Amino acid sequence: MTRNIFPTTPQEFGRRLLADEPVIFHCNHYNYWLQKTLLMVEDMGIEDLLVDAAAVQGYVITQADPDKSPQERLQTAADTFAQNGFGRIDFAGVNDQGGTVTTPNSHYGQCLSAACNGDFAVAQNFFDRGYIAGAVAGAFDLPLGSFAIETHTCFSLKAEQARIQLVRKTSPAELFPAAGAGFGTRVSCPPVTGDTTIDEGAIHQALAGLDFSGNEEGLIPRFGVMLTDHFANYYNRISFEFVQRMKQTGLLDYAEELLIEAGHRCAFNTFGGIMTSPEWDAVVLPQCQKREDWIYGICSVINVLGWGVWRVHEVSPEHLVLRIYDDYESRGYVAMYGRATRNICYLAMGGAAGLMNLVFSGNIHEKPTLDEAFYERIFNSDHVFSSEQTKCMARGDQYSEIHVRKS
Amino acid sequence: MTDLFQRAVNQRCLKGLQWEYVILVPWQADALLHHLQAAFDQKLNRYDEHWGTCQVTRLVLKFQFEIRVGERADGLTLLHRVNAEPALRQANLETVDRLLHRLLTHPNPTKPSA
Repeated sequence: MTRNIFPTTPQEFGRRLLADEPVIFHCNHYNYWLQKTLLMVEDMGIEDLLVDAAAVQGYVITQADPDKSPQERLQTAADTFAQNGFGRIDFAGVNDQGGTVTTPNSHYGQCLSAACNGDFAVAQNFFDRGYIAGAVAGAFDLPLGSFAIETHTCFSLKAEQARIQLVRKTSPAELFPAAGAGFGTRVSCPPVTGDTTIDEGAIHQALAGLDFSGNEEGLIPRFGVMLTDHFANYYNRISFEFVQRMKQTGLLDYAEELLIEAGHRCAFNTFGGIMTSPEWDAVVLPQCQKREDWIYGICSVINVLGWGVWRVHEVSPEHLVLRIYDDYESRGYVAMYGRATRNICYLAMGGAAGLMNLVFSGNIHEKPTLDEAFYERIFNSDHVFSSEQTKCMARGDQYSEIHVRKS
Repeated sequence: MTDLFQRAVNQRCLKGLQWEYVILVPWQADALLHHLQAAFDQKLNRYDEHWGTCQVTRLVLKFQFEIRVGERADGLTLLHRVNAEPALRQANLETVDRLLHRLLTHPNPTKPSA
């Protein structure tokens, strides 16, 4: 299928830019758990935050080529949505005053249910609503925030059709600006070192043979999960704004714990899914001779996700020292809020601890069933691995560093 | 399911979207791919991928399903598309079941058929 999309531009440290915005891979389980985590807190405008943070991402896509007509730009927005695994959008029913948009497929509307035990209480397609509202505003060269969502239906609430009705606002809302590529330190990244048989270059070459674009439904079923090639600054904005708002109510530590827990869930489902997938068996497993190689191997895979470069500095069955070069959380944080005063690599902290729990506590090499009972057993045990961040690029360090030890 | 093959749903993947067939007798990937195309009236789009030393062939019937051959040595994987209705999913599984039964019972059928 031919899609009218902007090329994704490779950057240093495995990062990729789409219309000058960084994109990274995450799966439906992390998307579910992060959203669920943020929505646990009421009365802080989180639902609006989820929509507004997506609006700017749709806006940058339709503002990226001003020589195109509004219809062409909306087609690009729809094709980008499909290419990156978010689903499909039909913009035929909108003009510069608003209208009705449908999403025949939706990652957030249809694929989060795999991670949810039970029915949803609220529609899950916040991202779709924001992206669509922003894309329409940008396509007609209107200010970001020009459209409100009047009504919507969502597959997650068992609607037969997903419809989003936009209405033009009399005065545009002021929304978050685009954060762009962010800021790194430009320090050079060392090669893989240590006692391992993992050949990162060979793994990257093999993974380059896989198609990670959205299928005809605009979805990406890979590694036994549904992937999205998502906007890094969407994750950054909703996570850091959540922390900012929680901080104002005296719940900063709790907010950070919640985001690290979302990182545990990411590790469990995304990394666990990868390490039990046929893709892993074909590409990485043949290089693994000992348990530590699984840590090196999964880091090599992580390094194609666009998250920055994860380097194992030290690893044993008891501890891990991980150095992350150009991590996406730090880059986005500095672009949005300036230099940090606290460590902010929540996803990385949760993910690093999760790796150790999977490999050394959970015996992931035995291909256990990644269900809730298994999660509880390895992440809520008395000897669970936990993380401490000792360096943070957002605080001015040259790289981010995480120590993982058993409690 | 039979002495020839078994299929089981992957409970993790979208609650029933992904089925894994394990073939219990000797089989040939090329013959399977050929007969799958015939069973679905040559409508499957073919995509070949190299995963390291593995060659994986993906056969896609748009908006219905995708079959991957070569990702596991012991069989194939069928992934329903999210919007495929339950009756259509069941019909497609049964078509693959019948094909496998025929192919594995008679490895060299002269006329491919579902």
